[in-house]
Amino acid sequence: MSKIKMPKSSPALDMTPMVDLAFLLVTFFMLTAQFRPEEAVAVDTPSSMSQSTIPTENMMTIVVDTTGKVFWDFTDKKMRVAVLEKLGERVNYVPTEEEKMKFVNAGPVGVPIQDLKALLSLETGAERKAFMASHEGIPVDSTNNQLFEWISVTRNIFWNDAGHNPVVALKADGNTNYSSVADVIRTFQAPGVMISKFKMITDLEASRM
Amino acid sequence: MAQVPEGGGGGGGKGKKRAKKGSTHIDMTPMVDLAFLLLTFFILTTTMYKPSSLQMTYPVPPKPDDPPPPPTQLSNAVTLLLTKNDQIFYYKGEFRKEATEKGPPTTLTQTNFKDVQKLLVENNKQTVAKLNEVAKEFNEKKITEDEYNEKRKAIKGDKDNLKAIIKTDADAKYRNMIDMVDEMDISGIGSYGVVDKLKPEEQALLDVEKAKL
Repeated sequence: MSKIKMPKSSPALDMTPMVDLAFLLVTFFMLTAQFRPEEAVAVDTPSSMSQSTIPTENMMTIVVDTTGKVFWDFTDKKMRVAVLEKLGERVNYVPTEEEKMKFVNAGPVGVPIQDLKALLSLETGAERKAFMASHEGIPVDSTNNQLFEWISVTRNIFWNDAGHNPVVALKADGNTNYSSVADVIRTFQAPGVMISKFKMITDLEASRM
Repeated sequence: MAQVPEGGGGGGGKGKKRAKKGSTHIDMTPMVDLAFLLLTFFILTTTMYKPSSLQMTYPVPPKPDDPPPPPTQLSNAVTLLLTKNDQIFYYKGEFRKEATEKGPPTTLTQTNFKDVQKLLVENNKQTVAKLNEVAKEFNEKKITEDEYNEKRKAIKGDKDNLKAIIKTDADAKYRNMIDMVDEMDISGIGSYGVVDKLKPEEQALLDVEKAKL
């Protein structure tokens, strides 16, 4: 009777577009996912209302952990190698290619310069982590301020390479005594470095998320 | 009587070996299952990890041959001493050891991070009101973002505003200092400084208060 005859649809759906989309999403997530590198130092940063973000490159981070140990970190691999070579010169240490690779992937590094060789001779990341945990971190006391050397070497190399200064960030654990952080800030302001602008890395306050 | 299987009869064996015609449709269900499993895994395990940062600007240390800077006018300043157990002690104005014509000797008042915001906002009412006004204009889209930031900067830079000096003693945590800097932003205090050394007389007063904690 009715003029329009509904076509009998087949019960089997064509799933191809759905599969296409699903795989597209899977591929996207797999390719864009960046695994959070295992942190050599556990740092629980305090939260703040500030919404400005941090750059992902050309940034030197000075990390201070709960006990006040100081670590150095840089985002770019090429720079890390250059800094290692330069600091190695000071203690007559010429790193091998393998050791350079280890240093590049090590994340924050915090040992006195003379212990760099011992640190990089260790095979696994876990061993290096334990080594750093049992050592004192980068010394910042006024008689032996090696942090100053780390910073000035990094800035010199970066300046010669890029023509401007790297972004400096300070990442400290919320429960660190402020006096340890103040030592680092004093080093920032020391003549010869004079970093008066830097970023303090914080977590976004939960209420704003 | 029995049914003869297809291709069973006839001469020659050619028909027997013909491959079955497979359907062109593949059952994609397992593949889709897998795809969605992976998709769900990645979506669920991905956390958007975006640390934020506070931009800090410290004064450049004076050169030895520079003339000493003029003393800061502290009459409208509040000095916040951060100490152990997340406690704050504060006093207003200049530090007076003994009573002078300007007022009685300085005493410390205790507060904490919950109440300090109220205190600062109350002492900085006019600035906060002005800031709220421009924020309202901005929200109603009467001014552009640049104008908004410009106005905020101008209001915060006013010389008569409340100033704050944040001093941390040996027991203060880094978190306390960050929280305090955050409060500065909330209560519209544009000029503040962070110092990590107390004057001896301040330390003496603070030690008395700390003993009571």
